[in-house]
Amino acid sequence: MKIYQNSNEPIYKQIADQLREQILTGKLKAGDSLPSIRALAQDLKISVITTMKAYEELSSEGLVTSSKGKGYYVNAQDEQMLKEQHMRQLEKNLSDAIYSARIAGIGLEEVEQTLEMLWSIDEE
Amino acid sequence: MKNVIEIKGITKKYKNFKLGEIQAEIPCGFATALIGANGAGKTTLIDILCGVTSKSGGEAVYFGDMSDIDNDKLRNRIGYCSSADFFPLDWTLKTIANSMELGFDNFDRKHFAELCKRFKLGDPTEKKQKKLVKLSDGNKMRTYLAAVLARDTELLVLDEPASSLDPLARDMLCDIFREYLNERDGERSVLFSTHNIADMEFATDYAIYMSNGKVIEQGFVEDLKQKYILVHGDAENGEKAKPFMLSFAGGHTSFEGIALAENCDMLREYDTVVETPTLQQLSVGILRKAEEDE
Amino acid sequence: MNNNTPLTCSEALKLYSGKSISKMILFITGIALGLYLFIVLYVLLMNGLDNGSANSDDMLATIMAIVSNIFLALEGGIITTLLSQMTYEKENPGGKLFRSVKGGYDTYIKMRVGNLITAIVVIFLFLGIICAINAVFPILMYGTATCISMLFFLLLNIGICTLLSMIPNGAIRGGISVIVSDIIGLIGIMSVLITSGRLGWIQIAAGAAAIVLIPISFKLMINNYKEKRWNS
Repeated sequence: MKIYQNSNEPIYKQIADQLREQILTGKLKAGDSLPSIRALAQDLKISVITTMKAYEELSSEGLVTSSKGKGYYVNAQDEQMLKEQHMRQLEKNLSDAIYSARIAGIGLEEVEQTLEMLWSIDEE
Repeated sequence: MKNVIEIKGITKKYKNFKLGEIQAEIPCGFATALIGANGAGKTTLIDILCGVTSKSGGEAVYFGDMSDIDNDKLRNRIGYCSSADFFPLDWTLKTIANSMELGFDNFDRKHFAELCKRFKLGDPTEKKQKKLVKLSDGNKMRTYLAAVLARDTELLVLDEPASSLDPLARDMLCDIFREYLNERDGERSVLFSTHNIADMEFATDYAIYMSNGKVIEQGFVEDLKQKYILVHGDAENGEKAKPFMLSFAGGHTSFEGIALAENCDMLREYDTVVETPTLQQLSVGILRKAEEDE
Repeated sequence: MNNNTPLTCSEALKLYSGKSISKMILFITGIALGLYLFIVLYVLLMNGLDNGSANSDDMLATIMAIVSNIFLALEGGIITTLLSQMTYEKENPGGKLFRSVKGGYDTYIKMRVGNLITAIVVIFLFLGIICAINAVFPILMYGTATCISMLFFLLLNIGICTLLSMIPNGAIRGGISVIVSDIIGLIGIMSVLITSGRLGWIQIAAGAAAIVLIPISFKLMINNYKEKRWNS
């Protein structure tokens, strides 16, 4: 896990993002337990409350569950929810792209062309 | 969430200073920072909580059900040290070990020797010993830390532990806090005071702000970071933005300060930049506001 | 050592000072004897070198002995002052540790009791040994009587200095205590010199006063300390 301590992105978000990715890509599997909040804090050299907040965020998204006395473990992800999660990520990334396009005054048509081009390059 | 200490209306009256009434909660399983300027009452509060100074009124409940700080069972569970001359100056590592062993039931000589080695202080079992008076302030503090950490406690209470430490030692102190908390996951807590929070930012979970003998704000750091925002703006908009801000510091070209997050939209209208404050920025804002209010 | 038993007076003294009662007694008695014998020998030697003539020998011996007596009074006075005024303030180095240890105030009182025991035993030992030395190499005027008189007066001084330890200002406390101790010590010496070595009612009075004053002053002192210092 990588943490940027001086980034604008809050540290708990960075942790949540990286764990989310590991869960969505299947690196962390259903039933796997996450490191305890205090062990992770010690590892990353950050506050306990920060790792706790990251875990709570994942928990509120339904990706992990906390069990009393045993810490957090990864939930079984059903197809529908996985897709929803991916869709959320996709929307976020596209919004960024739209923002850049707006600043540069690039229209929807041009953006679509760019998207198609990139899509085809990626497929090759 | 469980609290390791609940402070209920503690007061202390001196000739020219009054502490309290203090209402505060110190959460169990976390590191809590007592933040405030010199003279805000941090040391007095810590001394009262550790049985070093008597209180004039109020009560503190420890570990859920203990409130008599003169009870040895409670004293043994709390690891306290001050930052200035915690031990007589003619003491050596050996004398310290002897006295700590007599003063507390849970002092572990072996662990003390290990900690002394880790902090590069020497060997407490060796014949030839250096007196504390010959050590630098930083090494004195490390000695105090080694002594208090060699006890098997559930709550560490340290008064200004970072102030005499160099940057490397401060980093180590943060590591020690996290280690201490992690060792018995959720059952151990840390309370420390500081007038300079910047170095302790990544080891602070809960913050209690004190000014002029009173608690002016407290909460989990992540919650406080959501409650407050850091605002920057051009000097020409300063006067308009000021009413919506809690603390305000302006120059010829720009102004900055903290505001409640709920005023975020309002402030953006005055062409300001809003960001999440660091604990240090938050502390400056909260303490500055307290100073202005007086 | 993971015992949950409260500390003994000796342990309390060790916690505060690094030395148990027995070690402290040996330490203080050793220093007191060493210092006393060093001074007496030094004065003796210096005079022996300066004045070799035989006719002033008697006179000189008398003066030497009186000097030894006076010095015994002064040193005894200072030792009892120091031992009975071991106060520990919160602000002194170690003060906060001592207040946070188990037992807290009780441990403080035990330390003071340990100190009192030390002071009393040191006086007995110190004077006893001086008396024994004097029996072999006479250094004092009316040696045995002087030692017995000093014993009573120094015990009385422990009580008086314990009372004086309640003076809040450190400088005033120290100054007054040293002056008072020396006066008491000198009375102890003089009362024997003027009666040509006979012990009388004044020693008995001092001894009786000491027996009464030591416990009373100690009780007053710890109450005063709790109220004025510990709880301030």
